[in-house]
Amino acid sequence: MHRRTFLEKAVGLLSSVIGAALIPPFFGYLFVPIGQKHRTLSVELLPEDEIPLDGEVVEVNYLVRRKEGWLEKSEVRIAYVVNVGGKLFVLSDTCTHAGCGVRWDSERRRFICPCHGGEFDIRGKVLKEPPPRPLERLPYRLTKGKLVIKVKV
Amino acid sequence: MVKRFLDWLDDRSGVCGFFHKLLYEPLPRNIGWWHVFGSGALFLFTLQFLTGILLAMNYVPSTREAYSSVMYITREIPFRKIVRGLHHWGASLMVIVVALHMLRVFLFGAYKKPRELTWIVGVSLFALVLGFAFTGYLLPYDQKAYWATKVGVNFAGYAPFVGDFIKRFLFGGDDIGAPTLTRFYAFHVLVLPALTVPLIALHIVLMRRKGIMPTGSELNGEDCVEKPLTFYPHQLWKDLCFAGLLLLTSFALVFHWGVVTEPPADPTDKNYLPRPEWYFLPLFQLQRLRIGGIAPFGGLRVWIGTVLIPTLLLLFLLTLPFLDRNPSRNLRKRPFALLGMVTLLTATVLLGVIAQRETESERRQLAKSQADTFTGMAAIGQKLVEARCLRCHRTDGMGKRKGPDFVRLQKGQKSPWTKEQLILFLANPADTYPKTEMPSARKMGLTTLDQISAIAEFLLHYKPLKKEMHPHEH
Repeated sequence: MHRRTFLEKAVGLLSSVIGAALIPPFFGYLFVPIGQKHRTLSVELLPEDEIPLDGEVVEVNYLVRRKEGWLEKSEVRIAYVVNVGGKLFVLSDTCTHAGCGVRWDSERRRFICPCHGGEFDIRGKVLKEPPPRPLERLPYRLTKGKLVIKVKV
Repeated sequence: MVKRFLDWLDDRSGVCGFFHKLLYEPLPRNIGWWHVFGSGALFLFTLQFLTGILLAMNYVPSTREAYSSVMYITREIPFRKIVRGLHHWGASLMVIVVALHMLRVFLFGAYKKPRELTWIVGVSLFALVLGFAFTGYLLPYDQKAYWATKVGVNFAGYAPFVGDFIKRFLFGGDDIGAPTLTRFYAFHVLVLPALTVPLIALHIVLMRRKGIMPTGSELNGEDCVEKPLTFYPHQLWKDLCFAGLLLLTSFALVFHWGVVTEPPADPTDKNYLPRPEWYFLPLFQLQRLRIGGIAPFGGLRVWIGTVLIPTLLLLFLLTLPFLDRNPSRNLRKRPFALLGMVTLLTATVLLGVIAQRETESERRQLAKSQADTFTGMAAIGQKLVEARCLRCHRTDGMGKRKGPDFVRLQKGQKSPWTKEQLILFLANPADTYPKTEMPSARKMGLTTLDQISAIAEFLLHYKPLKKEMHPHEH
């Protein structure tokens, strides 16, 4: 092999080695943190005697501790507790279309999203598009006289 | 298909011709390992650029969050330690490689005609490297960052006439604080890179325009030097070897020493010895220089050392190609240049070594005087111990013998208890030792958790007395 061809090959090899040494840390730094999973938290929402009566919707604010990178902070979240014929639903306030917060319109008896005009009925079912899915129902249980929900943070 | 696209691209932009010219620059035969430092600096700059972008994604330039965001970068994921470590050690390597590059150019006489401009741009780049270093180490906002910057900027304030203005400009007010950090951040990530990138480009363009100086050639004999080699692959191969060596060194430094982060900046600390990074130590030593107990520049030495001499040195380096009228590049025919360089280099190294040795002895002195005095929480704890605990315990000949004596920790010994264990024990001793007669903290009138944890803090650091400080002991 000529000296020149040998050196050309060596340049190619060495630059690949340098690149290969740097790619794992750089890409790992960029992409590992975004793969972090949600944690599930149990939060006390309401005392049992404040649970809404049939046909009522109650907006409840609750606090969750959340880690955002280097910050650990409390965040206010909103859930709707709904009673339909004695059946209880806890609905997330996050519209399934683009993540905006829906509000309960008590006159028209529906949830309305301010961003793109999506509408949901009292059970969270889609009445008007664009939302692709019903509002998320948060799992709950009644323990020691309290309504406790499970949320992802 | 690919070839047709490339042909089209080259026809419209000339990009292939440009790269061809870049890669196949003809080189004289005696170019080689001495010439790798420039591209080494470029490699390090690229590395700093990339790691810097990654770090900026997780960094907050606020006095409240800077430290915790940096700790988040360092601790949470192993790759982050590497990325931050490469950036941290890259700075030190950069100073070394740039200094070697300058030294090589000086020794070979390459700054002389016709490459004066390349040299001037290079010296400016060196100043920018120091600027990067100075603005960079404030950013973690730890003790070293806080105090070294505070001291450094206050020194600049000693300059006559403009000193106060410079100081206020750098601090963004009259003292170090939140505006200083945002300013330094803006300089570090916006202003300095924006100046450095075009200057690097200019440096390379100028270098290519006049070609690399054939080693050992004289001013008039350059044109007839044969150039049988090309940059690719002959020189690029050596450049890459050096780049690989630099990367290997960086990784070794990261894995061996990691990144030293001191405790978060504490403006109330009266026991911290602020020292700049090693590459600023010679300057630091200059302003407090004493020869045989006498300060050579008297009361003016702070501004002479930190403002006047560095400025003059920079001006000297910038104008060197015009000050140095000696037409020869041969070192044997340049005795004054050689003498000047050796003097400057020796002085710099010597100042650095003296600074390092004095710092070490000052650290020992400080540690000695700290052994018997407690600060912060521990000092509060000491008072509480004297008022409450010595009713039953004895130590250093004080207190009663109802309970066991307090024993000082041996030198180098760590407390067998953690702080949490101590707090829980003090709060209710009977939980740990059911038969003890020791009353709970509440019964001793210690009602708050702060009081208990202050005592724990004191006990954790109950170090042996220094004999020379307390002659009455023996």
